[in-house]
Amino acid sequence: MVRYLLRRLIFFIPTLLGVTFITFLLVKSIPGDPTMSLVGERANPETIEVIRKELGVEKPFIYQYLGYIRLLCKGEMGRSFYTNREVVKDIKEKLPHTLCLAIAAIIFASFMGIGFGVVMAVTRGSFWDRFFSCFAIAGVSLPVFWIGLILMLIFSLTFRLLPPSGMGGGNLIFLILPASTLGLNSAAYISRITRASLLEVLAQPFVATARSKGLSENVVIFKHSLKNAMIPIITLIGIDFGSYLNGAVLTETIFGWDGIGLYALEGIIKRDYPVVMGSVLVGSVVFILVNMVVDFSYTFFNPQIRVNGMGSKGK
Amino acid sequence: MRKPLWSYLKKNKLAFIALTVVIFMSLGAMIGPMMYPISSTSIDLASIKLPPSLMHPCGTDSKGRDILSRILWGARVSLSISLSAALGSILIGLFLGLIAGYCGGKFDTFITMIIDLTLAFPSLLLAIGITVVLPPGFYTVIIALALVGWASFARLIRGLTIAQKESLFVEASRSIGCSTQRIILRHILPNSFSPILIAFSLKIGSFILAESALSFLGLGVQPPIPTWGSMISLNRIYINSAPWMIIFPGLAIAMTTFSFNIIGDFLRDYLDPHLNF
Repeated sequence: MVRYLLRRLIFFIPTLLGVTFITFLLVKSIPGDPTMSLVGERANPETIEVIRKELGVEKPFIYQYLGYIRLLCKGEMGRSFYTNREVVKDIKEKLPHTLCLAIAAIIFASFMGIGFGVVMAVTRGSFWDRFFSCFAIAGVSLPVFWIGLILMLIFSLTFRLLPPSGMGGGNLIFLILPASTLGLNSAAYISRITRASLLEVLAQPFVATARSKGLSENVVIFKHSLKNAMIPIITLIGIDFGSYLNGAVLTETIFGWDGIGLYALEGIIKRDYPVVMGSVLVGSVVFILVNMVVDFSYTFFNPQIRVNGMGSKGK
Repeated sequence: MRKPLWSYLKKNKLAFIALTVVIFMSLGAMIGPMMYPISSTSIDLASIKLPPSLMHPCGTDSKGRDILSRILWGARVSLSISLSAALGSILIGLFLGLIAGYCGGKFDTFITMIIDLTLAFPSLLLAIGITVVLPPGFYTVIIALALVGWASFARLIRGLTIAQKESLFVEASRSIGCSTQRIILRHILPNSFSPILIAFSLKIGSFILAESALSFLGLGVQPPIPTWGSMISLNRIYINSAPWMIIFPGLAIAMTTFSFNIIGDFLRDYLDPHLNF
């Protein structure tokens, strides 16, 4: 267990270096000079020279990259070119907002997804199964930004039940629309995988044994079968939670949610290198960490999986 | 014995409808802009923000442009981009996945590392990053999507190749002296066809969504060419007064993606009955 953990942690470092390198390469090849957009067209050459030196944009690429890594090791990410605020501070401020949104979304998605998935599996082949299956594929196919706008149109503009956008200073009612928008696609995916996984378990002999012991159907489904069907579901929940930085770019844009996705997008559009680097890095770290936690949770749901042997493929 | 595709399709009504939608969308994309009488870019200030009517089946936008005509153009952009990007990522994925899976060793480790690295990125952010680096336009979107999407194909194909490498028929063909190239191209590749086809159909659906997201953010194909995503983002401000401006383009995205996903599912049921999700 400990050895496996260590191996994963060691693998974590090259992945992280790779992520920083690719992001850095991308960010540096963005056309246009940030100094020019910072000082404007009519600045005198001396000012431009001073700012270029300050930003360090004239050094060769590899020096800039190494400098950035050195900065990272000190726990810093530089300052935004535009607001001159420390990126670490900005991220510390915005990450909780996105996290709050992501947690609300994943709770929504898990409940909806597992709930409907169980209904579909139990009523296999019936009208309701087909009905919800069709719904689930539709849920996967809806563009996030569009469904956000439609929900906004229905619930806030037509019926005036929920606020259309903004964060409302922590008021939970402001969380409902963005969280359901962000969670909708995952809810659909989770329901599909729940159905498939549960059906596979229900076909196994131990379920028949449990039934023949006279256990109630509820106990058979929820206690015996669902727990055994959990591994693919947990994987998907984990991956989705980690990837909410993706969906969050769109959701946060639509609902004016001041989180890391919006921050990254604004950074990309304004060519604010440190902001882009910082937010993509934080997003990837969260993504990789969540995947690791998911891996470990397997042992809880199925103690048969021995983590020691997980790295090698048994023949 | 597998039933013929047609009779299987006739029984599955949903897949039948999905196929019809895809055929109609493709026809609309190919000949629609030529057949439809109203241009997608002609500004008509006498008829701005008109609700759906016989003259304009999907209404008009804030500059009096006909929305149906713009949706047809958008179909052209969206379908051609997602089809080319899916083909591109399959080609990259096939090339790297087959070689990595068959040869193994250091090359395999290296490719697997790159695959893991690509999958470790938030994919939409990576696509956004690539579209910002390259000059905006049609080909940029294709390149961005293909560069983001190849990794999952490569992983799938690598897995399929490894599974078949040790199988009896590959060993047999090796023993009669087939070249590596022949084993990969004539034996392993055709046997991986069904999973690849299924993944391809599902990938087109996800690329349609990704393309619309990029153009929603203003990073896709640039105006005056209409795209579904940019129609929604430009008309967002009229959501309350003229909701049809965003409802119809969104429906076009959702219906097309839905159909490709249904077809992918149908192909999975048809080609690979062992997998049941």
